[in-house]
Parts: sequence; structure tokens; C-alpha cells
Amino acid sequence: MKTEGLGRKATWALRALSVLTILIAWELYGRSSNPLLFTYPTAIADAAVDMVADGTLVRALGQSLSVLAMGFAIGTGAGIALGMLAGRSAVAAALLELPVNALYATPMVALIPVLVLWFGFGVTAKVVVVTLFVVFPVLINTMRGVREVDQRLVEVARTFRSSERKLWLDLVLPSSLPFIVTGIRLAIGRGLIGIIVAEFYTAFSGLGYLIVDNANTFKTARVFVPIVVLMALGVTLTALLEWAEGRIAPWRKATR
Amino acid sequence: MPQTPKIALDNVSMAFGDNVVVEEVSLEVKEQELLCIVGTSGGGKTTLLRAMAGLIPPYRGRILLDGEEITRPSSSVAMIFQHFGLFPWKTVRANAEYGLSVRGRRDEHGIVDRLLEVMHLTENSEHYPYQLSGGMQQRVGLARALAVEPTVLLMDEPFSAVDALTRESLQTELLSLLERERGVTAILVTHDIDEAILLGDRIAVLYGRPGRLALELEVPIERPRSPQEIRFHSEYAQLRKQVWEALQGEQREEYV
Repeated sequence: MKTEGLGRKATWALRALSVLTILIAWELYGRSSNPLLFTYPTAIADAAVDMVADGTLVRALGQSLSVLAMGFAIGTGAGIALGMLAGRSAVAAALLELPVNALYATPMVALIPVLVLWFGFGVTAKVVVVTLFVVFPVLINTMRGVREVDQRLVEVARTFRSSERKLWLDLVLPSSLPFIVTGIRLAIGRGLIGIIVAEFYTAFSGLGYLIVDNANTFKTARVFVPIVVLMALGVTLTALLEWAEGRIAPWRKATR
Repeated sequence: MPQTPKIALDNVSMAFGDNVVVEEVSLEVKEQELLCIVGTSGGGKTTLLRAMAGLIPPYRGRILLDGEEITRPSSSVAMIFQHFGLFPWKTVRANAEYGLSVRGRRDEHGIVDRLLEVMHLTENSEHYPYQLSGGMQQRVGLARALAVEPTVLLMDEPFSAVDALTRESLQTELLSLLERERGVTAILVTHDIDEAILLGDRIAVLYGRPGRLALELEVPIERPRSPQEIRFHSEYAQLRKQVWEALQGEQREEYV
């Protein structure tokens, strides 16, 4: 996307300006308010240094990331596989459509008590929660991508007598890649929600535990540290995805 | 014994559902001949070509290749598309190699290199289609088709999506290519009378809805031909008039 009428430098200057303004305003207001109820950026920074030094942040981040990674891997893997199947086979699509749409529309949080009954409070339950948050946007977007394959190119492949396997490699996969990436981009946001919700509602662990524990003891600055980490995680993962897409799909530069 | 025609259409009708678009066309194309099928838009000529490619079955009648009925795409036929039909995610070279890779064949004799050179694409071989002009994209399409060393080349309005100047140079290149690649039988579908006279050994005119064979004629102009000179040939005006009138027949029927 192009920002109209603004150079690169000006755009970045304005971005920095907006962040700085927010931080300064927050700092000024935060310092004048009750530290039990509110906090400010420098206090959060101090708390972050403490929490890195005593190891709590790193340990919590490790726990959250490992659950996130597992849930994300299973969720995107299953989402892509099922999405491709549903995109290519009318039977699979008909079978999957209603359950998928129903589950996608269901607030996943509502299922957590049941998931705890089935999977306990441990890592398994958390991974299942993240998987459920991740799988649907990936599945639905993949399915759409496969369906929107350019039929004219399918015809080209047929004139060259392509096998079904080659057709997937040459055509279906690359052409649905942008859709899959969109699905994964949505899944990143949902996965982060999933991990925190899971850590709130199953056995306390990870960044979710840090938030709840510090909030209960009114260490407000310490509550914000994992929140900022989550924010950074979301931004980083999305940037990473875009970078990866640029590497895997250089032809897409044309459409950006 | 009379020579078996390379391609024969035996009372072929084409239809979408019950809507007949081509009615009872019988045609023969001799080995190494270039037949141009001329017709107005929507006259069913592309549909007829797709049937010759084995992509769709005729509604009635038979289409024979080397005396055998065509029921599916054949490995000795290659097709050129109006929309070029390149894979956006493949480089020029990968697109040109596509037909060989589909057939699991290695390019042992460097045929792709040679074709890229002939088509002036060597310098662009690592570019993606979006980086090329329309004319260059169609050169890639030509290279891709010729790389599989077809005995039959089917061309569907190959030059109608490029500007007039590019069209002339592509026509010239096609002429010299076909003179070089002897042994190729070609069928070109076009709505451009000048193109048909320039390229064809013979011209078949389809007119009406459904399209019927209105005229078949030889082009008695010796080769090599060039787009610049052919217009001054003594036979040219007469040929053009004949084809024009055959195409006009349709309009008389509709509007009088």
C-alpha cells in the first residue's frame, strides 16, 4: 500500500511522533495517578528490567511460546490441509461447511470449561484452545483460495496434460498462498488471544499467569510488562509473516 | 492412397447445454499446413479450437488427429492462449519449461535455451510475467508451446491482446518460427482478416449463430511473407474482399 503524498521519511517521522506523544501523555498522566490503579511507561520499563533479572518474564514467555508454537503448528497445519480438501472436493466442502461455520461463529472461550473437562488443566488443554482459535481462519481462507484458482490456468495445465499432483504444485498451492497468508495473519491475533485465555482459565502459567498474579497483588506496572510483550509478539509475528511471504512469493510484489 | 489429414473435423457441432454455437463444420487440415479460422466474436471459433485441443467434447460429430478420434488433450498438441496463460509465480524460464516438467522430461538438448534466445527472452529468463510487456508474455507462451516439440499448434487469438505494433512483430516472428520448425501443423483462430491472410495457407470463415462454415479458400501468396509487403500483393485486395463478404453475410442475415 502506498501512503499518498508522503515520503518514506515523513511517514516514519509522523509514526514516531504519534507513539512519542502517546508515551509522554501517558507518562505525565500516569505519574499523577494512584500507582495501585494505573502506571506509566518508565515504571513499566523498570518492572520489565526486574522481571527479566529475576527470570520470571523469560520463564513465562517460554511457557507461553511453546504452547503457542504447538497450537499454531497444529492449527495452521490442519487448517491448510482441511481447507485444501474442502476447496477441491465438493463432498468434503459439503461435509465441512456447516460445522466449520458454526464453530467459527462460536466464541471459543465458551468452550473452555468443557475442554478442561476433557483435557484437564495442563499443557494439552492449552494447546487445544490455541489450536481451536487458530484453525478456522486458516481453514476458511485456504478453502477460498483453492476455489478461486484461475480456471484459465487450470485449462492451460490440462492442455499440457498435467497430473493432479503437478496441478497442485504448479497451480493450486501457489495461487492460494496469498489467501493462506491472510488466514495465518488473522490466526496470529486469535492465537495470542487463545494463549492468554487458556492461561487464565486452565492452570495458571506463562504470560497469562503473570498478568493475573500481578493484578491480584496490585503490582500494576508488572501487569503491563506481559501485555507489552504480547503486543510486541503480535507485531513481530506479523512482520515475520510478511517477510516470509516476500521470500516465498516474490511474484506478489507486483500486486502490492 | 490419399494422405490422411493431420486434423479432420467431421460434421462437428458444438453446444453449451442445448445452445448450439457451432453447427456441422467439416474441415481438413493437411500436415504442415497453417489454417486460419476467421469469425466474429462469439461465433464459436474458440469453442471449436478447445474441442480440437481435447478440452471439451463435440456436441455432435468427430474430431480426428492422425485419423484417431480426439477425446482428451494429446501430447503432440500444444496451445497458445489469448490470455497468455502464464503462471504468475514462475519465472520466464520456468514457464517456458513448464510443458517439459509436466511430462517429467529433461531439457536434454537445451531446447528451452534456444527458444528463449530466438524469442529474445534470454535476458529476461529470471523475470516474472508481471515484469514483462504483453508481447513478451506471449513470446513466453510461444516458447512454452514449442518446447514440447508439438506436431500441432493451436492458437486462440494469440495476438489480439497486444498493441498493433507488437502484433506485427509477433506475427513476423511466428512466420519465421514456423518456417524454421517445419513439421508443425497449425490452426490459428482470429477475428483479424489481415492476420489470417498474412499467416494462413488456407482460411476458413465461420459465420452466423450458430457458426457455420461460410467459406474456405487458399491463400495463393508465396512465402516468405511480411506484414509490411503483403498488402501490396496483387491478390491481397481480392482475398480480403472475399473474406470480408463472407463475414458480412452474418450481419445481413441479422439486420435486414
